Amino acid sequence: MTENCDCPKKEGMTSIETLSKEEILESTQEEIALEVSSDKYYLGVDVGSISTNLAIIDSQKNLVESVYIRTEGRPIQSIQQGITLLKEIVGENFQISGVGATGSARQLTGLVVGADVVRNEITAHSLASLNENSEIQTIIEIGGQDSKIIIIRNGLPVDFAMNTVCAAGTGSFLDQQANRLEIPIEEFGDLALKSNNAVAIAGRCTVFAESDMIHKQQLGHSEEDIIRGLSEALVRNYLNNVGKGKEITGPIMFQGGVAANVGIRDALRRSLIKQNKIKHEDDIIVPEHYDVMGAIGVAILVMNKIVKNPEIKTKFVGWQIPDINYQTKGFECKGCPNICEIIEVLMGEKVIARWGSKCGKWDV
Amino acid sequence: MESHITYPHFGPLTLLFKAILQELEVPEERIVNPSTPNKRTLALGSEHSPEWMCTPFKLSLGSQIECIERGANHVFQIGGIGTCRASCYGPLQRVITEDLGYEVKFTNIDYHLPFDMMRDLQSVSNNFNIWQTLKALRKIWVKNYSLDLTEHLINFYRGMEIEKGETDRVAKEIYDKLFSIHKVKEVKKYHKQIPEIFKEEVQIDEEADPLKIGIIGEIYVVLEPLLHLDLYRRLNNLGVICRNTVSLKKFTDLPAKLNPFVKEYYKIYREKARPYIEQYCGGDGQESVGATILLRELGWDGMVHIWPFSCMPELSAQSVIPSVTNDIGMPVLPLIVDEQTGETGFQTRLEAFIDMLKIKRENERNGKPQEKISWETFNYD
Repeated sequence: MTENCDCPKKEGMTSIETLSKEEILESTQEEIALEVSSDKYYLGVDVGSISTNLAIIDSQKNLVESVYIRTEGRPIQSIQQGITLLKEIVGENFQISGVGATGSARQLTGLVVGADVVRNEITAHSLASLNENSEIQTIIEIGGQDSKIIIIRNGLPVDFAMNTVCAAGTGSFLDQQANRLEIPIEEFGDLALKSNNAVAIAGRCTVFAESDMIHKQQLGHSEEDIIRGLSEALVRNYLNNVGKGKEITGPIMFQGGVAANVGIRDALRRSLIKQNKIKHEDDIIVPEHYDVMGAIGVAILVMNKIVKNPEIKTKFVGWQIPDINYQTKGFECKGCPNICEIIEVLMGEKVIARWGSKCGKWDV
Repeated sequence: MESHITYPHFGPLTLLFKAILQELEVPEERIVNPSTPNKRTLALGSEHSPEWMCTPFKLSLGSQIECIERGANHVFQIGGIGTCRASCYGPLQRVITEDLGYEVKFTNIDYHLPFDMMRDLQSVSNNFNIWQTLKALRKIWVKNYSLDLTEHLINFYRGMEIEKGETDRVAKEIYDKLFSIHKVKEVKKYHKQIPEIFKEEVQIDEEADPLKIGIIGEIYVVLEPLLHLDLYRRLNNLGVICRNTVSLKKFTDLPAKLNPFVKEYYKIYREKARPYIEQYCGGDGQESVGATILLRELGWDGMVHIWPFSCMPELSAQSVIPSVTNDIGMPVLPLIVDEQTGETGFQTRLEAFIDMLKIKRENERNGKPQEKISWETFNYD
């Protein structure tokens, strides 16, 4: 399609990656024996809408250290904060052999930390889950803004779905309601477990849910019952929206920030058993490091890349990241009728990247 | 009052509308060309639209208002008696523009009614009689073939080009050339050369092993880059070749309509969809399902299903697509668009979908070497 844009045509979008041929072959083959060198460590950084997770793995894919903090709408600051926390644990002289970035802010993260691999979070998550347990048939992931389902057969992802229109059925739905009830989100799950009688609450839309909640509160229902009702509403929304038409069978890996919520875990379990999708309660597995799975996944991807090509030197900026002054600026390009929103990332005074243009005119 | 005519911006097929007016010999100074829509066009349209209306309505209204402000007083577009909300676009837009204080005439052509369509085209033309209109229509359908072909070629070559931007450059030359020729015979002759031109001028990566992805969904969203957020270019940049399964040939392809031995492209899709959706469900819903089945049979890797929020026909299709996927093993990625411009979620889904398709394909091949990809095997028209 030739738009009437007089900008010089260059490559349309900035660096994007999907799986390379080698990576596909690897995931379709049996585990390849990797050369073990115990002194190499890999860092994965996952910056999502709600949380920022960092994970360091060793060359046996074991988690060494991890950090989980809230993004709070400031991705760069949260990366810096995360790196600071990691530095305090492992020390300034800790050698990192490779860095990977994932999550919805992966492009920005990749620049800030100097990532060797930038990959989408869905691929990273399925990789981490399969690494944890190769038997799983379904991955259910409920994150801050996204919820997804990945269907795995014979150790390979065959189908996936994500929430489509809005953030209903995701962590931010719970977050909103917790805020409204003035209950810390961490206590939400335990409260739900105390209830024996769930209150019916609309799950489609936070606005509907809120008016339902107000109504039920005013009728005199207890807080616990309302919270349990909310948990069930979220699960119902998830299964009917994201999981619609998908063959959900156990073992199921349940991950993402919401997996921390015992109330939701319980509601999901009961709902799936009721629908005859799983037989035992143990069919839902919550991985030990459920909150940093994305970071682990992308660290594994980096490790695979570096082990294959030992000559690659990592682009990792280093532990001084928190001391560097990163800034972002946005402006509208008036060059053509597309009116693209351009984002400029500055490292100190230097522009290190620009993106957002359709024609590539502003790319550095 | 002298009529100043405008037409909708319709992605790559904007050129078709331009060709129609050109062939109907509407004088250049009486045509108001719509500019490429942007966020402001959409905002302008939304401001004056009912909230529940689908995004294509809002965007086309915004574009119309922009053109009316530039002097247009006659809107030529597609519409008519179809069985989705597209049929009330024209009347509703007329009422809205009236309320805004403009006096605008609307001509909505409809492929369900070929004779009315001829009359409408005649009324738009520069005092043509019915025979002249028919002759003009002949040129239009021939050019429609070429425009569709070029569009498919772009999405094929751009996914594998070595020098970035080469395909777009070639395409622009072809479009320019297409508009400078007016004789049917010459257009037909040029049509045959188009694949050759791409082959000669665009260097492709011979080693490339691209995925083949079909794009189904509501016609306006499938075609308009502002609404599909540059889906084709995104896919091409990820090393995927793709093609859409919609076309305005529904409206212009008179020979296929009259010839009992030729089946129109959309009827082939509808037939394929029959085990799942028995009846025409409006818009392109049935075609979306049918195309998924057909492309699986042809060995394609996956589909992207894209539609505007609240589009009824595509929602009907969406509800049966999971069972189609289960039966034939064709993954379909659903994408719903509205006024949002957040592109991250969109990009993430595409990247993850492609990763999954790559793994799936490798597994299905089971070590067999890749098939040689060429335009001849890609094109199924």
